[in-house]
Amino acid sequence: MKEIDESKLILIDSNGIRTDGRRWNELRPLRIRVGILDRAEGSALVEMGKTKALATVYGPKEMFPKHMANPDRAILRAAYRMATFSVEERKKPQPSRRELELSKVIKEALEPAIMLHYYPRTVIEVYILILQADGGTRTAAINAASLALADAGIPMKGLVTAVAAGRVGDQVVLDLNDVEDKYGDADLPVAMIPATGEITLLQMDGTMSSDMFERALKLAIEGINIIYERQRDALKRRFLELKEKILGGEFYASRD
Amino acid sequence: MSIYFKNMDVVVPGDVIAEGDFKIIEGAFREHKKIIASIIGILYFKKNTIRVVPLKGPYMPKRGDHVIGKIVDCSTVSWSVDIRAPYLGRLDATDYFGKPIDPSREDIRKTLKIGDIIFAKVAVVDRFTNPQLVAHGPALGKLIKGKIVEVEPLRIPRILGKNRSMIKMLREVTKAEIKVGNNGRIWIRSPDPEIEKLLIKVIKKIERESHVPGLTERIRKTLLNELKDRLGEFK
Repeated sequence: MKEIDESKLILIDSNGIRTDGRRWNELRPLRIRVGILDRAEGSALVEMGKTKALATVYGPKEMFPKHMANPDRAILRAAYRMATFSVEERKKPQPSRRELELSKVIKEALEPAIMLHYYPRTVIEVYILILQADGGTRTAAINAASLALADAGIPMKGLVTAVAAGRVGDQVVLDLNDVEDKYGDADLPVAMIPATGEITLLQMDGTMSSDMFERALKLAIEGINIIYERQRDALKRRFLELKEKILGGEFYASRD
Repeated sequence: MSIYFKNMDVVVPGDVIAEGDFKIIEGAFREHKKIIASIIGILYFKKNTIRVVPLKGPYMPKRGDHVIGKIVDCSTVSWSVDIRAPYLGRLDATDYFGKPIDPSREDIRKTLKIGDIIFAKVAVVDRFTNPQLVAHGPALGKLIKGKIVEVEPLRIPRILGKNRSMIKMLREVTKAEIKVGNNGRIWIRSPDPEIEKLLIKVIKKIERESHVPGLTERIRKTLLNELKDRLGEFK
């Protein structure tokens, strides 16, 4: 593994340029593709810079073991995994403590958006695989998972969008990459349902003054709004193709 | 009362469709005065009603649906049926035979075994128990031989056609028996295996090309063409 000499590391230079050439309030290049897998009911691939997350959705389907089924709503299961080749040094394939924790956190970030009461006694499964990790995997995972859920046709209050803000020295920065995450001073991942304004995930690692926290949160929400528009576009593009494929103009006549 | 989208626009979950007193038929929910889409689909409004027609999604059984199911389990008085939904269908022996049976005398496994295919109607759906099926009645019951084609459940209206025109035409031209389940399964049977093969091809074609106008006529032409060639072979 490459050793980084912390004393020589400059996260933001005198011109305000970060390690990957961005300014403090810029997102990494975003690439979104929806419906890329045929076997899954819904799927999405989200690339935020070098971080790549693939999410697939199965279900709603019958819950096993049956005693764990909820009689008035569906149960959401989320599994976050990192591919063995996603990080610099091979990751052991066994689920780690961190992966289990992130699975729980992601599940809780998605749950408020999904109308689980439509499918009582069932389970909806979300599998997220990190193909390449470069910081902000949980936020990329949430973005991909909410798109995959929408692609599967599961009713939702709105898409869930996530991005991290953080602190490097006395500068607030948006969408941290791996180096900033590890050697920066604070990391604040935020997930939100932009349609209703609910925040569904808010974690913080490191220290920030309350004033800085507010600035970071505001910055994260600005970032979320940009990503949200891109998510909507990607979904619509996918479904415009489907619409052309399936319906043409005759659909309604046959339905009424 | 204001509407923010045009008729037949694609909306995604979270889009505010309108504000005011609209009646929601499907695919949206109300929060205070706002009407927000909950699924991806095509927005369709008529007078005061709003409807988002999904393009893709799980099959949820509705009362009155016809389904093609596969027996997956068997008890002394009922069968469990896979109907391609999140829930297994339940078919009571009474609803298959049309009369009460005595489980101590009769073994219902002799009638329908695991793996058998049935054509049934959804009789009761509620949130707490699995959907109840009925397989006793005209055209319902066990399906013997034949082939099953699976398509996207939401494309079934296109396979039926306007006023069931497509399915009528398919039956007329091929003289095959065809049963269409709302759960996206289609059963076909013909004495001629070549016709079965042809029908599978045609159904997949309908599923794929359903956006082309004048589909029924085009499919009829392809069918007749193929059949003419085949008749020629026999002569």
